[in-house]
Amino acid sequence: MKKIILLGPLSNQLGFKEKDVDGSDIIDIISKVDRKGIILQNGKIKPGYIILINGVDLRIKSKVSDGDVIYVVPINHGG
Amino acid sequence: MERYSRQLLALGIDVQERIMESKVAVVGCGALGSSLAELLGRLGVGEITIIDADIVEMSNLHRTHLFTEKDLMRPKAIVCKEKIEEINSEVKINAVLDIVDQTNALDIVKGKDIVFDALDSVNYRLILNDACVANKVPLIYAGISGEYGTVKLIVPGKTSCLSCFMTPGEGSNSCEIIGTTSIVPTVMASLQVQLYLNYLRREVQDEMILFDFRTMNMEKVKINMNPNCEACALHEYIYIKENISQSCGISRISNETLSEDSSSEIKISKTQDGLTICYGSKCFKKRV
Repeated sequence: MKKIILLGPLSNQLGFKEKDVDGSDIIDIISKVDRKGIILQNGKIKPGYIILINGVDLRIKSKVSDGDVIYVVPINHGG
Repeated sequence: MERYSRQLLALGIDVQERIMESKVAVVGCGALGSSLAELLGRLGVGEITIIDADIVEMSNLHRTHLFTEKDLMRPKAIVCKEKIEEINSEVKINAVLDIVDQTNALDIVKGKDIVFDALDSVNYRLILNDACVANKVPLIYAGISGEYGTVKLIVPGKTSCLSCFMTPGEGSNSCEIIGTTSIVPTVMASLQVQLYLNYLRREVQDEMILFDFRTMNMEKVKINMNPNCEACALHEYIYIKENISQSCGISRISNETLSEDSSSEIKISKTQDGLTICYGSKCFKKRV
């Protein structure tokens, strides 16, 4: 199992803050909690979110293993 | 120093001197920028350059600082300059009626000790980030959405930069009108200025600070440098070299398409999808 933690308004939008989820890769894991298509679109992570696996950006390290902690961080552009 | 007597008790003379020697840029003078400009003016920053091509509209007044109903349709950067000069005449203020894009980003950043990102578009933020990283000028980002905000200090060579984790916005995703309150930009601008004070004390953390106003939770997330980052790792600076399309907000109209006009008078005309704002021969399209 992997732990997924949502930051900011995502926890309100998806109805939980932390959840243990299983899945083969990061897209599989997120798709199990993102039923509304807030983070994913056409099997890809939408712009505006940082995904950290044990504190490391998904673009640097994408492999997930049991016990990993996945943070989903929304980034804001309003000013 | 009577003006700063209470502040000196909190910060000490060394930090106050560094504040008064600082040359800073506030890029964007909307909700974040007007709040930043007021805070930096009251702190006693030596020189503040405020860059914005936009004008004050009624829909801005609920969340901005310094603007009043009398300022409607006036350039935001000019209004900010006038109001801060009334608050603190010891501060030198430059108002630049322009956007920051590929044509001028490097020049605007050059010679500044620190730049405050108060923009409202990811594409312009990436251009500003490239210019700051290329010139080794620290940048303090803040972004807001609803009752949520994020803020981060970027010190080129020491921390990750915006391009480590941001990608350009495309189409309608980057054009959504973002709602917020007066509270969120005021607090996030205050956090940007606190990061500036901490930077002057040589306290630098490579982390993003996230503030959820509904739950009153503040979280810090460490953001590592991305070894494939086009700016701080590869030094390619693609966003100041390429023309990123901007399908909403404010953008430059090529000067060649306009008749020459040497006056600096402001001219505002309504178009089908927004406004055209001209300062002399320099014109901008504002789409909503």
